[in-house]
Amino acid sequence: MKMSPWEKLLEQPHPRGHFVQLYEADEGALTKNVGQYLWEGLRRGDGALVIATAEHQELFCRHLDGLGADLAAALGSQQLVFWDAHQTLDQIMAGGQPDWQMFESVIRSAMRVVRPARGQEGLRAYGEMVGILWKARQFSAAIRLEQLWNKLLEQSSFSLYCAYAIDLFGKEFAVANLDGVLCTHTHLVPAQPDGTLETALNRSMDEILGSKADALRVLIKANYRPGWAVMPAAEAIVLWLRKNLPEQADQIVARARYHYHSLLQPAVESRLAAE
Amino acid sequence: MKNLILLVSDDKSTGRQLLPVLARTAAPAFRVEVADSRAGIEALRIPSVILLDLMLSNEPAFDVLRWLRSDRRYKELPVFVLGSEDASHRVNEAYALGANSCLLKDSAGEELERIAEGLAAYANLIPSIDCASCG
Repeated sequence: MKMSPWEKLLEQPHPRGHFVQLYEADEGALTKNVGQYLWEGLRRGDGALVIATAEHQELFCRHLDGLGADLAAALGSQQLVFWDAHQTLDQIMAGGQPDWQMFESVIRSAMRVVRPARGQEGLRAYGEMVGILWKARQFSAAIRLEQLWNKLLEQSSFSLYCAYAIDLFGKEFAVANLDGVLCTHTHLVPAQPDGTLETALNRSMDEILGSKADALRVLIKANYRPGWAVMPAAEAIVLWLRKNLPEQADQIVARARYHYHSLLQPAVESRLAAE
Repeated sequence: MKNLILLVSDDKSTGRQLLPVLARTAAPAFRVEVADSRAGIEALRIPSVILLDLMLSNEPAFDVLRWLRSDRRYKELPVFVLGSEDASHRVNEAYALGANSCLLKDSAGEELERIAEGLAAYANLIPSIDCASCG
């Protein structure tokens, strides 16, 4: 089966790639995407540093195990290293904001622990300290931490995957709230790399906007936003609608949520049946 | 009275390229007019959508955008700026000043036609302005 550009990105992230996924609407998609990013790294001999909550560490381990990873060996050799996101965050905060010197010292220590396979030097990092700050409504601290990660990415060669519990179908997913997040990443990873969200959204736009939907999609596609992360068409459409057609956006996005979950249902059922 | 799509530009080639396409695709619901400055904008009726060329020569386009966003008659209006990829910093600044969207000026031919159709569809979907309350 042909791989989407997004799946390729997770398989072979470019060094200094800084990805973000907004997962509140579909936590299973986060586990799947991060699992894929880590698994491909381990197979290629890259080191992997995961700074995550205990819950997510468990989910990622289970998913990696399902993909066939030898977790005991990867953890034992320190090719794969888990750090707790809450504890790590406590070590880098000063006066309510992340501090560069503390951040650099702690994260470089973590990176030194990771051991890529012999002859390899690639490093894939996953971090959700930013997501913890966002959830606690410490928005400026979250953006500051992203900027610190970018400073570190300029100095070292690794890729970074961040995650926020933000609902793509919720009102929080709007330009006014997310400009800082989108300006500090290179790519916004789609919840489902196969285009399920785009299908759901297009269906909803067709139902609500009728014959105007096609013309509007062309206008939205032509929107030029150079300072932002590269993002999938569907996410770009939602942001545009929330900004420029707020009255219709609520209805379109609510219906898209329904279609999205309907489209996912057969896939979930067949996965459960296989298990 | 027809609603208005207002192109703010003093670049003849932009006008030559965009106006016929806009006029053709927006009709019959919208009338398309051109202004080249703040004074020109104020002389016309309140539009439904403004297309603002970022390369004005009469006065800085950012000044016009700042003024639009501070004037109660225009501040809620959608403003699409016309920019270019080789001046992306100007596009980012326009967003920071409150532009709704940016379209690339060098879109051509069939693509431009389709974008103009999109603009007309968009203008039809937004609530019409109650000019009586605009002062």
